[in-house]
Amino acid sequence: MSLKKTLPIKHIVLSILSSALLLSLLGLLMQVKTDLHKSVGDIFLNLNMQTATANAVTSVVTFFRGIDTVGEVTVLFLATSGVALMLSTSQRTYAKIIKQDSFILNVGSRLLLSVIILFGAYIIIHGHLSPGGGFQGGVVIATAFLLLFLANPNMDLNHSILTLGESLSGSAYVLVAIIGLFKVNMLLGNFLPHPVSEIGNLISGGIIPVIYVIVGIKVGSEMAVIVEYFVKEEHEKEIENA
Amino acid sequence: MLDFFNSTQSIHAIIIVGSMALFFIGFYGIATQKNLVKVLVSFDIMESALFLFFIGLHYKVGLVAPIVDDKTKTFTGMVDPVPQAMILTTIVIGLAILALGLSFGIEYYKLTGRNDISKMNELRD
Repeated sequence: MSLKKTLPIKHIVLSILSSALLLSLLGLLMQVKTDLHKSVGDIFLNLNMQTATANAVTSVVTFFRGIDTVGEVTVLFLATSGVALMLSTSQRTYAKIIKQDSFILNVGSRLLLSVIILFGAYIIIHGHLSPGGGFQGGVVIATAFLLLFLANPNMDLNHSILTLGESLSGSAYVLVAIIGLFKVNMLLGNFLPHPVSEIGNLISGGIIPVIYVIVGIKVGSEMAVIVEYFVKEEHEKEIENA
Repeated sequence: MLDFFNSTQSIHAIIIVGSMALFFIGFYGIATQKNLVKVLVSFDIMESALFLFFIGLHYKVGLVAPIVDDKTKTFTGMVDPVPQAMILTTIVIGLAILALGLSFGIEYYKLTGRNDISKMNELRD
């Protein structure tokens, strides 16, 4: 079959498939009711006052669906290991980068680095009071490392500290879960005091901010490792091309 | 006219149409692009459409974000927190999968010097 005959068939199949999906989604739209019955979210919202967490999304992520988050962190860890396995096999050349470092970027990164890390830590610590949390703040901290890499391409991260932070936070998460199992007979149970009158304060919600800090450290170190592998790859390519 | 746009159903309709458009932009990219990196980015565009769809369909006019402050003392009249938590999970996993896929792509390019998916025939023989 020549190329000219295969192309229309592909387009016809694609358009049929697309229109079928579109029609099924429109069918979903027709069934949307304005007054939904009591959903899981309403039950969680009713129970949420007991967790003494101002942000209901945080308490759903770390408490009601805590085991889900353990799995999520595990997936992130596996992906980081996969990236490291894929990109670290080749011979690394840490030779001088051809591109000259930008002076403005260099000075600006020194100014901004501490501010970005502080902002990330703020987002992590206030995860149970305001929008944000461990995942978002961890990614913000990783952008600080990205800025460092852009400013000083020859910089090396201290891998032992990153690996230590990553593994210690992973173990701490499981440890917190198991302590909850022994103290309040529930995996990831809230064993720290969490009085409802303290809602809205920085120290409230028992283990929920503790878990989000742990998640923030883990996500930040893992994302920094991923960013480092990709940036180093790019520089290696530049050396090869030159 | 503005009241019409402030009703739940019209907002839902706008979100459904817009996210479907975004979804099919990504779908078109996957179906037509030959570059491996572009295919992976198209997957990410499809993913963003799903995020918009999920979060948007659980918004209703008059409900506020599920965070108590000095004005809202109790957890009433708030949107469903479960879809937001689910999408938070999905965003992180999507990011991880994108990084893993891109690293596979880089390694494939290093091994073969090609990034054209229509010429991938290493497993044939």
